[in-house]
Amino acid sequence: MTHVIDHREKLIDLKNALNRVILGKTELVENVVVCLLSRGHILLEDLPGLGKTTLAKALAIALGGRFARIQCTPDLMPSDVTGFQVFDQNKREFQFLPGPVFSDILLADEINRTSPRTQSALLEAMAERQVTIDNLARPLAKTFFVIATQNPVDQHGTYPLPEAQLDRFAMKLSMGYPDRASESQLLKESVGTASMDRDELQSSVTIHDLEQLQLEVSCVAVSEPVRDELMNLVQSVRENRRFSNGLSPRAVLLWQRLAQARAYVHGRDFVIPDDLRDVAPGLLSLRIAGHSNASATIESILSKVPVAPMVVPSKAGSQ
Amino acid sequence: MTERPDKMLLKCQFLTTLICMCSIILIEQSRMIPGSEPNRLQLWVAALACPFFAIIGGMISQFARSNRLIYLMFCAMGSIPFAEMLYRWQSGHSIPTLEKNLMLAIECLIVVMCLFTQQWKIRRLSLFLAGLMAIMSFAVIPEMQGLSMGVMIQIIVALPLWLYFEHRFAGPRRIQEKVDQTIEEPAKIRIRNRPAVLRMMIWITILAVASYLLKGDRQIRYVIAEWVGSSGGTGETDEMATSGVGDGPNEVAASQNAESVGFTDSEIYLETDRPSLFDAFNEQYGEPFKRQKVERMQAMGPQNMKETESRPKENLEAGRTFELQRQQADKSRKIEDRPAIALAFVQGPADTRLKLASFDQFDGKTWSMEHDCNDNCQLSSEIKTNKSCWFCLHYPYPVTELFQETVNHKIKLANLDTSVLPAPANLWKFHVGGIRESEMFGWAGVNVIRIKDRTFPAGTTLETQSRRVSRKQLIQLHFHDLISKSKHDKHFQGNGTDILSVSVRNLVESWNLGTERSWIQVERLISRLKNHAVLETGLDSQRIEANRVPLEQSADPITDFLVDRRSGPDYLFATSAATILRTLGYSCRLVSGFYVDPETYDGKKAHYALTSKNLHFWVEILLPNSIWVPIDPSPGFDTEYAHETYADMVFIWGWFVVSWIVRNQIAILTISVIFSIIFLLRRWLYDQVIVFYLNTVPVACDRSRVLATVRHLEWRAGRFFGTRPLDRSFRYYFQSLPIQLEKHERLIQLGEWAAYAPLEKGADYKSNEIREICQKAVSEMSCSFLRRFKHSKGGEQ
Repeated sequence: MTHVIDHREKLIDLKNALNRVILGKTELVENVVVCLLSRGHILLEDLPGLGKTTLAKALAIALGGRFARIQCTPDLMPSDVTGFQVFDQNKREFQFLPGPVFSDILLADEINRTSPRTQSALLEAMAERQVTIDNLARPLAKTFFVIATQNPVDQHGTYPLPEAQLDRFAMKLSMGYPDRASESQLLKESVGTASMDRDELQSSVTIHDLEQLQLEVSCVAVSEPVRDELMNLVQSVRENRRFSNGLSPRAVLLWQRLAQARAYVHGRDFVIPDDLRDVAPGLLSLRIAGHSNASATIESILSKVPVAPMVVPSKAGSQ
Repeated sequence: MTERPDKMLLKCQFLTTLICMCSIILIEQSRMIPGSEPNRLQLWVAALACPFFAIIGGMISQFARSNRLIYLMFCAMGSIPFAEMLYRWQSGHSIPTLEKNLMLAIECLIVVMCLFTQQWKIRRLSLFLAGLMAIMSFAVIPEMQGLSMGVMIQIIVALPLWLYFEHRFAGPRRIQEKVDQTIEEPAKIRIRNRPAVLRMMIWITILAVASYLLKGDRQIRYVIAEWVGSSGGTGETDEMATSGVGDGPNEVAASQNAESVGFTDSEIYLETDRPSLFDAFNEQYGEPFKRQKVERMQAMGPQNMKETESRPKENLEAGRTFELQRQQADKSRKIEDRPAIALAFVQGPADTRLKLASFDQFDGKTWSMEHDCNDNCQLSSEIKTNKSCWFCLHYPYPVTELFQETVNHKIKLANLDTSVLPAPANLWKFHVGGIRESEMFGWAGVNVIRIKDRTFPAGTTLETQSRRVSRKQLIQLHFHDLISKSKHDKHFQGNGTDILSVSVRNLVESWNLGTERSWIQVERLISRLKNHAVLETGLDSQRIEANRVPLEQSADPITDFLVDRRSGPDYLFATSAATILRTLGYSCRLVSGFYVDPETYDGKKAHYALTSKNLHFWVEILLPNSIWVPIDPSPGFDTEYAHETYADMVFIWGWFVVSWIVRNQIAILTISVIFSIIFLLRRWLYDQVIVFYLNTVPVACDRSRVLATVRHLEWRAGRFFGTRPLDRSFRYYFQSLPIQLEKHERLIQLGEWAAYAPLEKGADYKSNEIREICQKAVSEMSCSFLRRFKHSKGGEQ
C-alpha cells in the first residue's frame, strides 16, 4: 500500500507535467498515462493543430527517455522505420544502423499517410517489441511505446490502417478543442515564450520507474464479480453487428490491463466496475467498424450489461 | 426475415379471430332461448367483446412464439369443461354427460386455435376438430342443434380465409419446409391435404343446405338420423321404422275408429297390472310402516256411548298420503311380479323433474296431499291442427321476466298407471294424444293436471311446454312481503317450529344462514344440507340399516336423520329442507315425481327411459309473485334453472361478491383501512426496520455492514431521484445526485472495497470507524433530508 502511494506521487507528478502543457484535458492525460502503464500504444485522432504532436513530445520529454519521430510520408520505406545494414568500407563488413523504433517513445505522425507496406513494418515492433532484420531479431526497449496520430478528415492520398494494425493499439483517443478558460490561459502563456520549456516539463518519473510501475500495475487484483462483468461486456460487444470481427483475446487482455492501470492511477490495488467502463470507449472505438455514431453504439453496448453486483466476495471466488 | 411474421398475415389472422369469436359469442348468446334470434343487446355485447378478443388474440399470438406455450394453452382451455365436471362431481352436483363436455372442450380448443392460424399444423388440426364437432353436433346430441349452426358459420367463415392464407403465403413456407426436411419427399410436401380440406368443406356445405331445404332449421338432426343406420329412423320415410315415440296419436285415433282393435277401448286395460304411482313408491321406498296394534276389545258401559250425527270419515284414495316411516320393500322373487323396465319415456332436456304429486300438510311423520284443488289457474284449449289440440294454462299472475327459457318435452307413458299428467314445473301448454275437450281434465293438486275418472292408457304420448326460471333474476328477488300473504298459510305452516326438535333448530342455527330472506339464503341452506348428510339409494339403505336403529321405529324421523344418522333417502332431504324453510318463513311444499336422469339416456332411441329408480322427492318454494319454483336439496341433484350464459355467470358471481362485501362491511372496512395505512407507510416501515437492523443486529463482517449501508442509502435515494440504472456503478449514481456528497466519499470508497477488493485486503479503517462512518451516513442522508432537497430542487425548477 505504501509502495503504491509512493509511486503514485510520481504519477501525479507526471500527470501534472502533462497537464501544464495540454491545458484543460485532464481526462485525456489520464487515459494517456493509463495506456502508458498498461504497455499499450495510443492512436490519437483529431483535426490538425489540436496538439497531438505536442502531447507526444511532452510525454517523451517528461519521461526523459529516448524519443524518436517518424513523419509518415507516402514514400517512407520500412527500412526507414526499422533500420538497415550498411557496408562499412573501412571494416569491410555490414553494420546495422538502428531505425527510429529503437527508442523509448516513438511518435508516428500522420500514420495513415504512409503506405501499408511501411505501416506493416510496425506490426512486429508494436506487438512483440522486437524487429527482425535479415533473420536477426533485435529486441526493442522494454518500455517501447508508440503514439501514432492521424487526421480523420482530408482522406485524400491516405491508407486507412488495416485491422491487424488497429488491434495492436490499446486506445484511440481524440484531443478535442480546449475550453474557453484553457484557451485563454494558453494565449496568456504564449506571450513571451519562444518554444517549449524543457525544464518545466521535467518530472520525477524516469524510464526505469516506468518499468517498475508497469510491473506493479500487472499485480492489481481483479475480483471474481468484476471479471464476470468483463466477460459479460465482451459477450455484449461480440454480439453487436458493428463489431463484425469480434473482439480478439488480445484486446480482452488489454482491456483488463487498462482497467488495472486505471485502478492503479486512482490509488487502488483492486479493479472496480468503473475502471472497466471508463477505458472501454477508447479501446472499443479502435475496433468498431465504420466511423459513424461510434460513441453511441459503444454507449448502448455498455448500457446493456449490468454492473457487478455488490455482494461480499466469497472465499472460493477470491484469488 | 423469417423472424417477423408477415403483416398481411397478422391482419388476416386478426380478422379470422374476430369473426370466429363473434360467431361463437352470438351462438352462445342465442343458445339461451332455442330457436330465437339474438336480440340487439346481445349484438352489442358481441360487438364490444370482439375487439377485446381480437386484441388479446393478436397479443397472445405475438408473444407465444414457443410451441410449449401454445400446448399449455390448448391443454388449459381444453380441460376447462372437464375441470368443471370434476368440480361438480366433487361438490355433489349432477354431472353433465361426457358428450356434452367433449363438445365444449372442442369448442374451447377451436377458439384457442383461431389465435394460432399462422401455424400450419394447428390450422389443420382446427379444421379437423371443427368438422368433427359439426358432425357430432348434428348426429349425436339433440341439445346441440343451435350450436351446430354456430359451428357451421365458423367453418364456412374461417375456411376460405385459412385457405387464402395457405395460397397467399404458401411460397416461402414450402421452401422453408423443403430445407428442413432435406430433399427426401419434395413431391408430397407440395400436395399436402388441401384437397381433403376442400372436399370436407364442400360436403359439409352440401349437407347443411340439403338438410335445411328438406326440414328447416329445427330438425336438421332428423335428416341425419334417417341416414345413420343405428338411429332407428324417425318415421319420416318409413312409418314402420319408428322407435315407438310418436305412436300415441295413432292409438288415440284408433279409439275413434269402429273397426279398430286399439287398446284404448279394450276392457282388459280396466283391470291392469301396471303399477300405479302408489305401487311405484312402495317399490322404490318400501311400504309404509304399519304399527302392529295390540288391542283388546272391552265392553263400554252405556254411559260412555254416544250417537254421532256426522258421517264417518271418507276413506282416502291410496297415494294421497305419504308416510316417512317405511319398511323394506318386499321384493318378490316371482318373475311375473318383476317390474317392467320403463314406466315412461321422455324426450327433451334432461335434468328435469316431472311432477306427479305434491304434499302440503306435515305432522312430523306423514305428509298429506291437499284436497281442495280449486286454484285460480284456468285451462283453455287452443286448436292448432286437425289432429291435436293444445291446452293452455292461464295463471293468475302475468308472465314475468323470471322465466327465461321455454322447454319442450315429449312423454310417452308406458307402464305407469296414472291419472295425473306428469309434467315439469311451471307448465304452460300441453297436448295429450287427440283429446280436444278441456272438460276431460281436472285438477289433481295446485297446477297439477289429471284426466277425469280414468287413467291414461299405456302408450299415451304427451307433449308439454314449460318455462324455466333464471337464477340471475331469482337472486335479485326481494322476499320481504312473503309473510303477509295469508293465502298460502298452509304452505307456510307456522307449526313448522313445533315439528322441528331443539337439536335440529340448534343445528340450523349453527349453519349461519343469515337473517335476511333471499334466494341466496335458500341456496345456502340447500348447500349446507347437501354437505351435511349422505344420500342413500335403495340398496345403500338396506346395508346401513343392519347396525342402526331402524328408521321406521324412530319417533322423530327428521331429528333422527339430521342429527343422528346423517344419511337417508331423498324424501328425508326434501322433508328437512321444506320444514326448515317453513320455519325460516318461506312457503313451500314437498313434491314427488320423476327425475329425468341424464345417465338413463338411450342414445339409439334418443330418449330417456324412466323406471321406478327415477322416482324422486324435491321441494317447491313459493316466490313472492305466486310462482312455484322447484329446488332440490338431495346431493347429486341440481336445481333446474334456465340456461346460463357466460354473462349471467359473471353477473351472479359479481352479485355474490357484492352481497358478501355488504354483509361483512365493517370487517372489510377495518381490514382495508389497516392495510391501506400499512401500504401508505410501507417505505417508512421498511426504512425503520433496516435502520434498526443496521444499528442493533451484529453483522457478520465489516464488508457486509458497509454493503448493507450502501444498498440502503441507494434505496433511499432511489425513492426520490429514481433508481440506479443497472449499468451504472453506485459511485457514479451517488455523484449524479443533486446533493453535496463529499462527506460520503469515505463511504463510497469503503463500498468499493467491500464489494470488489480481494478478501485478503483489509480496510483502511478500523472496525469501529467503519461502523461510525456507516451510522453517520445513514443518519445524515435521511429520508426527510432527501425529500426536502427534492422539493426545494423542484421549486427552483
